[in-house]
Amino acid sequence: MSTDVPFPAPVIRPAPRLKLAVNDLAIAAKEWRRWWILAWTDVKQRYRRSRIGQFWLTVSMAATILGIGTVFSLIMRQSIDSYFPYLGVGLIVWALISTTINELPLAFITSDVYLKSYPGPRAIVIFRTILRNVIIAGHNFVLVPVLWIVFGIPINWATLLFFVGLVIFAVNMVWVALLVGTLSARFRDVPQVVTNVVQLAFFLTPILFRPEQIRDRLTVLTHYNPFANLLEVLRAPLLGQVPEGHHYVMIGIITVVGYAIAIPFYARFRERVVYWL
Amino acid sequence: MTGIELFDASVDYPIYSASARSLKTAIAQKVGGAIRADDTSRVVVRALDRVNLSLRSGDRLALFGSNGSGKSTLLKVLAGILEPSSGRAQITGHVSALLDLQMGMDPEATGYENILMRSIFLGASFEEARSRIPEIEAFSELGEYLRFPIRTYSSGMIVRLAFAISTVISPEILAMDEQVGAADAAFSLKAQARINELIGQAHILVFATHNIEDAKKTCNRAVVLKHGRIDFDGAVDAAELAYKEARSEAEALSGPLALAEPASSADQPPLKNTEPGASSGPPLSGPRLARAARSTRG
Repeated sequence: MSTDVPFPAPVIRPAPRLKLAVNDLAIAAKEWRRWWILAWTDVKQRYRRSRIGQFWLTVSMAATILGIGTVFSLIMRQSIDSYFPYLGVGLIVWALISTTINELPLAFITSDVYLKSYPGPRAIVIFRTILRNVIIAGHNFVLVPVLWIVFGIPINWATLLFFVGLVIFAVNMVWVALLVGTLSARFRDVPQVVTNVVQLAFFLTPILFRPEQIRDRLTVLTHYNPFANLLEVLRAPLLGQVPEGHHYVMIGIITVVGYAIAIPFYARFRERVVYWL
Repeated sequence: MTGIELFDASVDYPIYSASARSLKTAIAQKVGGAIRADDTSRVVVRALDRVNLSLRSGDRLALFGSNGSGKSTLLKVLAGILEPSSGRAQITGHVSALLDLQMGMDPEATGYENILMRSIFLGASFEEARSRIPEIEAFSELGEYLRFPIRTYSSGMIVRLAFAISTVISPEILAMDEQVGAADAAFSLKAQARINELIGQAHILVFATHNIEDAKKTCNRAVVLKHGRIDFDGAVDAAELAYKEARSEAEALSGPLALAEPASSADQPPLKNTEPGASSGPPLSGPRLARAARSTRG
């Protein structure tokens, strides 16, 4: 009987929390099939018993671009040819950013059945949420080539920078999730706070208006607004332009600062998340 | 080297919706872990209290304990699902936790889709998942039904499918709740055979149960939990006595609770731990606390 055999107690020093948190992310990234399948399952669920499923989102996006584009090009005294593609691509990219950030607080909460029944890294559900939103936003991106063709947007090497933007986006969404996902598991008001911040950001970010229109007055909105920087590295390439260098610099700073805050925060509370669900 | 070590592992479940004032009504409660307020006057339930446990390759551990004694919590800690709120848990080896197999199945997806999804979620590659289909088909005996969404299945059929998917790979550490495999009689035999196979291959088994006979058959070591503490740790035969003692003690003290809960009857070991899903669901939810409150009034 194992209990009858005395054995020396092994000396095990507690693993540092920081290392556990980083391991959690690293192992989750390595086990990509697990979050890949969860994300695809989420997308498939939206297609069940629906003929066009998620493409209803695309229809609604087209209607929004058409409606806002018609009215605002008049209000802003902009030519339809330049305003429509700017607004259209901006709204499509914003839909990706805003729905992802709105769903990140729910990453742990809505995956409680997995976290409470199966061992494994918790960050899996963060990657699941981000991937799901990228796939779903992909449905909107079919409108981008339409805008290209209708308004004769040049497609060039700059367009490829969109994929660089997408990687920057995903990397930043991870630290946002580590912060707001963990906080939301404990304080269920956080998702509402996040939704309101994102709503406010929509109006403060150059989507409906152009940066030039407020230049020299509220440069903080175009230069230091994290949403504007994130938006621009995704939007400009799709309009055939190279994003200005300062956007990449700002995003770089935001990424470093974001992780510097989020990783220690996650390290401190990671083990508590399951208790809060 | 497969192994599990717990050093002074405690689990405190915070109850955010309950106020610390309910403490005074909970003083006389007889089931479950100690309910108390921590230094910030937050209500916490101590489900595990400084547990020390060391499991090595070859250990077949039975977990005994009345409702709310901390069995499920300890099982989750040993499986690495829950990290202790204080103390340490060190788990080495690939763990499979057979707690609530149906968790996370997609009711709108077909049987086949669920096989692929669940297999990949449980760690298979895409090819491995596909290659397991014939075996799962044969074991679940669901035939044509696998083409239908599983929301059209009876609960017994869902159990068959979930069981077949979850037990197709053999883990190094097997953590299991006794309610696993509760289906119709014919499937039960098959399921039992499959479980025995898994147990034979696992380096370490942890089995939470009420059924002493089952434990005698499969386990070589037993732990009896009482209010979140290890009350006994040793041979299964000797544990039987300690467990019965603990159980009759709990009944004598709780009075009306025994009537409300036939599951704690000493003469007839229950087949199930609690309602399906409840034990592996929210760790310590309303009913269990409500029960604790009721016992004080009764």
